[in-house]
Amino acid sequence: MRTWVPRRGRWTGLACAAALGLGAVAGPGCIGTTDRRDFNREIQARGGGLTSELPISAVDTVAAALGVIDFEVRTLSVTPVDGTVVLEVRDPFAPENLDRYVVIRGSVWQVEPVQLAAGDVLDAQTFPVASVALDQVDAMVDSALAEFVPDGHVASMTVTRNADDPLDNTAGDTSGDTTEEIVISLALASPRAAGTARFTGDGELIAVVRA
Amino acid sequence: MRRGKWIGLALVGVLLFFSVMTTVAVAGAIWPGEAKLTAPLFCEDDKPDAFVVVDRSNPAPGETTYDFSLYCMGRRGQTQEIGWLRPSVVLTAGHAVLIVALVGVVVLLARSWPRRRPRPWDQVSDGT
Repeated sequence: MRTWVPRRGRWTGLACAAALGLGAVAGPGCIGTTDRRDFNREIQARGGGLTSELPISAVDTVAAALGVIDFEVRTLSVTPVDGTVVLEVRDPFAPENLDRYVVIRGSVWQVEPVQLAAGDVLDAQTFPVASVALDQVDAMVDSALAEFVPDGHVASMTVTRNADDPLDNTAGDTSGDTTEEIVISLALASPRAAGTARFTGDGELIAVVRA
Repeated sequence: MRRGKWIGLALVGVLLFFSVMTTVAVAGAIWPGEAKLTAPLFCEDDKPDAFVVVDRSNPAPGETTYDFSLYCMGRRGQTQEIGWLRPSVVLTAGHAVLIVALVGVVVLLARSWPRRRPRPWDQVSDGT
């Protein structure tokens, strides 16, 4: 009869292989993750991440918070990289007041009153948010980037009703009616260039201007 | 009946402990990218690409913290933040299933394994 001998070599080999495997896996650490900087670069490489969804969801959120269907704003700013939308909203129940709503990824994060200057005339500065073609943002981004440098992206979007913008002259629109117009501005950026694309409230391109 | 109930609860507790520990060790330290496996459950259709984004910070000298968060991204760069809690819960459930399967396989193998041959000292002790 053969004598039984404990096979220590097999278990030692398995233990060594397991230790080596664990070391190989745990050594690099953070496997499968993306650094925040690289993540933001990826967003920029895809155009900046600005779509209609972000401002529309923010407007819907504020409308729901106010309990109204439409409301007036003085400015609407969108920063897609962190999903932030800032709206200066004219209180529908106290039209002499302006409130700043900060909406992040569809949730109202902050509401605070806005100090008005003596020369502020809200009737001339505000506009109904429903009159802005927010559903055309994707097309606006595409046409803006097509007119910009190849590796550009949209860093932010601002909607105002502003007459004192010198870019109006570059657009060739000197009819004098611009004081009443809504202007959608897209801030464009690339590693080597910056610029602004301006659209009407309907989403029609006015001009793309390099900074 | 009552004893069986307590044993069942204890087994569930042990299973929960080991699956949480596995999630902490694997997804929290070794392979955070494992959370991307849960992306199909959370990502919207227009944002199919999953990323586990890590934020490194130094709250105190010599101390580094890592915060992980699962994001979904669309072809225009639009993102959806999922966070870390929901993927961790799903991963813990997945690890629990894996542990049960692993223990089941081990038990089945142990039952089907041939009995060891008698050792010389077994025969000696049998003879005395």
